[in-house]
Amino acid sequence: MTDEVLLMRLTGEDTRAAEQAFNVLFRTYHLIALGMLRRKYFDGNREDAENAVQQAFVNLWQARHRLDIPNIAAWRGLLRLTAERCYIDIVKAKKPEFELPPELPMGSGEEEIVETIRIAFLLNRLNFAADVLWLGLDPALTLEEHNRRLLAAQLFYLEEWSLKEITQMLSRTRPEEAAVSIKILEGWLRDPAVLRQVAYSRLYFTRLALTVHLLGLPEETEADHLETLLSLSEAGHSALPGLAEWNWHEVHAILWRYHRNVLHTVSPGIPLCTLQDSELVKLFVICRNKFPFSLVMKNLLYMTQGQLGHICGEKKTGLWRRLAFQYCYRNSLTHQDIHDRIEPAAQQVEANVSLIVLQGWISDHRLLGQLAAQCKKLYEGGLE
Amino acid sequence: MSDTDFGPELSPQAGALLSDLLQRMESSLLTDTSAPAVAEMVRYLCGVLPPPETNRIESRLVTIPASRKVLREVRTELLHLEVQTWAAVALAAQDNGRSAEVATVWLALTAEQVAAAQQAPALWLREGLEQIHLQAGAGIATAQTALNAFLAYSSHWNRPERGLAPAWTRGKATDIGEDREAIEMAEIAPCLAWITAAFDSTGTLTVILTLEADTGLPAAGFDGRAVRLSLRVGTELWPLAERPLTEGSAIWTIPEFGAVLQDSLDEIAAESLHVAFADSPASVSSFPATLRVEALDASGRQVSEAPTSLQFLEAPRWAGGEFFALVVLPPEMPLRYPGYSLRLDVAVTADHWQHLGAWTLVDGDNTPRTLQAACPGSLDAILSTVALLRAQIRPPA
Repeated sequence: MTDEVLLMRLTGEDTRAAEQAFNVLFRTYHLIALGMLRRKYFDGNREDAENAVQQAFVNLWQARHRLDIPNIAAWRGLLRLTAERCYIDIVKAKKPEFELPPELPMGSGEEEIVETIRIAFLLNRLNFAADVLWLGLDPALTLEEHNRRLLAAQLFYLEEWSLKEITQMLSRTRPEEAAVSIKILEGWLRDPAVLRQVAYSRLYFTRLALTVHLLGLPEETEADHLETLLSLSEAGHSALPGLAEWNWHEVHAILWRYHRNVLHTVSPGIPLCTLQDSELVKLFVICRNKFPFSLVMKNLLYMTQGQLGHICGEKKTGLWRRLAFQYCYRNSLTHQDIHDRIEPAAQQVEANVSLIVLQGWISDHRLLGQLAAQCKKLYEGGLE
Repeated sequence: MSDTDFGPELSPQAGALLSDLLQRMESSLLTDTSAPAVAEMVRYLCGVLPPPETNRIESRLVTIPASRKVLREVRTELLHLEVQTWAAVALAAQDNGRSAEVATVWLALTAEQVAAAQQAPALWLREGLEQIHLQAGAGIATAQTALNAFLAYSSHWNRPERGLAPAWTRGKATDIGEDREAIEMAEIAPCLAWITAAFDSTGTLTVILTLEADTGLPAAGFDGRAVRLSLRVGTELWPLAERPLTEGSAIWTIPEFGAVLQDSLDEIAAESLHVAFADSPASVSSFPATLRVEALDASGRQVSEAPTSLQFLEAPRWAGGEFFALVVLPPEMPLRYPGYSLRLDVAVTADHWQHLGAWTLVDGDNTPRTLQAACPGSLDAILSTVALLRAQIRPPA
């Protein structure tokens, strides 16, 4: 029996025939539906996806008399859409792992904004919304497609793979999809959104990454290792393997300042610190001079043959706002610290990201307001 | 919202709440930030991971710069391994370091894929191209193996025998006409059967079968019976889809065709088409089976002479860590290519091959001969389709 016949029976009047058809369709398509859903929300919870697919079949069974499914392609589309909606409903229904304040004296509609951001976060799509807003990503494309394009561009611009090597790799890794031709790849490499993403991926340093850079440790050093170093520095060990440039007192201060994000100027300051204030000031000036941002931007300009200058310079502020948002809301940095990380790179393309400009973006939570509006626009009507 | 816009303001309460919310959610977020392991990278590069796993690896590769450097090293190692014999790869796997790690994973993958490929033809017969493509896209492992086997098989089309015409060319409809080789429907006589095939620029394959009575009108006598369209390489048939005959005609529109076979395929020899009634027994492969042999020059380029073929008297197999194939070489082969060696590779994935071994062509070598090669660590398996093998002859180094 063909799938088309099964669909006719599913939506027909004969309940017994419909049940039989439904069982066959479920057996044939439930793994396919799960695969499609997990492909889109690959970073989500498998159990949620499985429950969503089960629920989708239940919903389709209950609505079968109202369905118009002319062919198998329409069935697949309907199944995918229903499963995605069920998945979002499941995620939405999840309670946050912490208590929200019961009553908030907020302005009209702001509760909705908070809820939209919460859901976008739970779906791991908040960064995506930020990338759409400030880096200019096409919201019609999936996160996986953007990652694929970004990876291709990183391999080309940062790792110096040839076009042929990249197209071969992309085509091999997804044999079930159409191959990526060199022409398509060249289009991606010229895309301003992809270029901004490449720049963002190089210019954004987490607190861990910046501390690792300052201490001269290997790039792949993990947070646990820094915690070990911190313990050693507090225990007063004399040996200092691999960190010849700094003494233990300096390592201790750098770890607190850049990894733990503690300011020596704000009480209670850096615990167990043996350096004087004046020594700390001098140390952190040295550290700022070692910041990688200016050099990274110079390299990016060189690698992209100046293309970034056209899309991030002067009044084109998307990349800088994206960085500011991340440093502010995901790293909890002060305005001055954010400025110290963004301005050296912005200078390379003559973009004005002064402290005053930066404060204009960040104060009154304007960046957050922008993002909330973007989330609402993107995810209104079921985060489709 | 323009790039220079300052954006809407939130009330201080909402701003503070959201800011606090983000901080707390950040700390509760469980994101996999670890670099992909070498084993994951090998499987990723070979295209054998389900799509969600592929996506997850890419999301880590884009955020962890060091992992991209390792990816390049793994890729280089893989390319190096592909030209070595199974035995040499097994030896490399016993060493230490990243090369050994890649070799170990590659060897395991090869053994797995060879074992799984046994089931591929049967699955193909049961499901057909459309379902297998869909299931592979959804990450169902058996379908991915079957699809990879089909892609490896289809790579033989990229080397059509010279002088065979007509061929389907992308973007051009071709009237293949009455072709008894292609149309295995003897019981329809005295009707005529015509096939028109078009392989358009989007990769959709359209095939129209028309049965014509001797009056010149459509022969409707077979209406309602299903007809199976298959693709053929050598002696093997891989079914694509079945359609019922209506008013003496059956039409196949297969959009997956181009997507599956990807952009590398622009032309297919007309002999690759085969139509039969669907109630006739279907099988992908039977033995003896023939496999085309490419003749290469010293630099690895295909030489211009017409390729020759190798006959497998029975299904090639792995047993006790060795590969066996009972073959007959055409008598003219050693005469035309004196001193050359016959080289066999097995498809691990769509375009990753494991070299099995090379055997020197000997004059008078036209009696059945068992080709044997050490494959340490291989699982016992029977290769039910010779299309997963690649045969080449090369001059001495």
